[in-house]
Amino acid sequence: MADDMLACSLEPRSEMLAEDQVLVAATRQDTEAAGRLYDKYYSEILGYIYHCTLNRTVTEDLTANVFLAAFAHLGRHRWTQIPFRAWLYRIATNEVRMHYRRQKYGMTAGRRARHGTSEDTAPSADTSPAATEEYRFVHQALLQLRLKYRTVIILRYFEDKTMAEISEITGRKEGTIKSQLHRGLAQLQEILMRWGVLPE
Amino acid sequence: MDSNIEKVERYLKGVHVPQHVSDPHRQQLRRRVLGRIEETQRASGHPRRWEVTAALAALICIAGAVGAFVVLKYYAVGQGPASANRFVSEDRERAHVLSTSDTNDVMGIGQAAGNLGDIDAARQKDGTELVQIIESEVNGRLANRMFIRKCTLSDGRMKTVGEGDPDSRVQSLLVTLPTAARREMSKLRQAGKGETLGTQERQMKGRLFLFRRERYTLHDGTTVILSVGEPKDMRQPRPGVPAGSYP
Repeated sequence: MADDMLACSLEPRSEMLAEDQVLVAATRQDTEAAGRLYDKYYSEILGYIYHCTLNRTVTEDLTANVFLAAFAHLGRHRWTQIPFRAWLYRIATNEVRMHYRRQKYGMTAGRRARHGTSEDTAPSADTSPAATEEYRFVHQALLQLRLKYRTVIILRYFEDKTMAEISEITGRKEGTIKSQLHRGLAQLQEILMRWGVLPE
Repeated sequence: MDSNIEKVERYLKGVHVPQHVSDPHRQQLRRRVLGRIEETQRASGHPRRWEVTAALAALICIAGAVGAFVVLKYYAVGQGPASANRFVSEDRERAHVLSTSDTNDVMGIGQAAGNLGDIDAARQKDGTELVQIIESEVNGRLANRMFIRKCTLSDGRMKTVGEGDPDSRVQSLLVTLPTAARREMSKLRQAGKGETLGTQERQMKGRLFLFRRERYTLHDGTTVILSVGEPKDMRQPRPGVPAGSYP
C-alpha cells in the first residue's frame, strides 16, 4: 500500500482531481463552486439548445430547465460513468426531446414557449441575416428527420463534438452513432436536393 | 465518409451557425440557480425539532467523551492510475487516493468514503500514530512528502493511511515525473538498483525520525532520491517502502 501511495504522491493534485469533479463535489456546500460551473457551461448549453430549436424564448426556457434540473440532482451524477459536460448535454438533449413531444401534442414548453415569431427566431445582432436565413433553411430540413438523426448531426457539425463525445452524450456506442450519422446525412441530402438547395 | 453523402457533408461544414447571446437571461438564471442551492443549504441547516434534539443529545455524549471535533464527509470523484479510487472532502481541503485493494477490502466505495471520515475524526482526536514519512526528491528538488499514519476506525479495525504534507505546501514545489519515468523507477526499485546514500536523522512532528535514503538514476539522467523515515524510538525496525510496482 505504501508503494501505491508513493506512486500517487508523485502526481500533482491538479492532475489528480479534474476541476469539474472538485467543483461538483463542492457544490452542495459552496455556491461559489456552483457559480463557476454555471459560468463555464451556460453559453455552450444555450448555444446547443438554440441550434436545436432556433427559437430564443424556447432556448432560454429549456436552458433554465437544464441548469435547474442539473443542480437539483447533482447527487445522482456518477463520475465514473459520464463527465459533467456530457451529462449537461444529455439533460439538454432530453429537454429538447420533451419540447418537441409537447409541441406535437399541442402543449407548450414552459410559460412562454410557442411557435417561433420572427422576434423569437432572430439570433443576436452579431449574426448576419443571410447566415441566419441559411441556417433556418437547414434547420427546417433537419426538422424533417427523426430526432435521433437530428441530434447527432447537430452535435457533430454545429457543436463540433467528436464521435466519442457524442457517444458519451447520447449513451450509445460509437458504431451506432456513425451509423445514425450516415443515415441522417443521407436523408438530409435527399431533402436538400428535393428543395433545390443541393444539386442532384 | 461515403461519397453518397459528401455533398451534404461539405454543405453543412460551410453553413454559418447563428449564435444567441443573452446576458440578462444569463444573470437572471444564475441568480435562480444559486438561490435554489442556497435555499437547499438553508433547509438542510434547519432540521426538524426531533432531529435537533437527537443531534444535541449525540453531541453532548460525544463532546463529553472526546471533545468537539468536525467530521467531514468524503465523496468519490473518480479513478486514478492503477484503478485507485479518488476521494475529496466536502471542504475541498483534503484529497485521498485509495488503491483498489483498499476499497475492495471494505464494503465498497461508499464505505471507503465513510472510513475516510472516521480517519479524519481519529486524527482530530489524536488517535493516529505517525509511523512513516516518505519523501521523494527529483533532481534535487522536493517533489512530495507523505505521512503514513496508523489509525483505528470506529469499528475497531486498524488502517494505515497516507496523506500529503498539508503544512509544507510542497505542491508549489512539485516536480512531476512522467508516467514512463515512474514505470522505469518502479522497475529499478524492483531490481534493487538503488544506490544507498546512508541514513539521516531529522526531527519531524516533534519526533526524531531516521531516514534511509536511496538514489535512482533514470535513463535520461533524472535522479530520484527516496527517503523513508521511521521513528527512531520505534522498537522493531519497519521494512520501509516495499519494492513493488511503480505505476
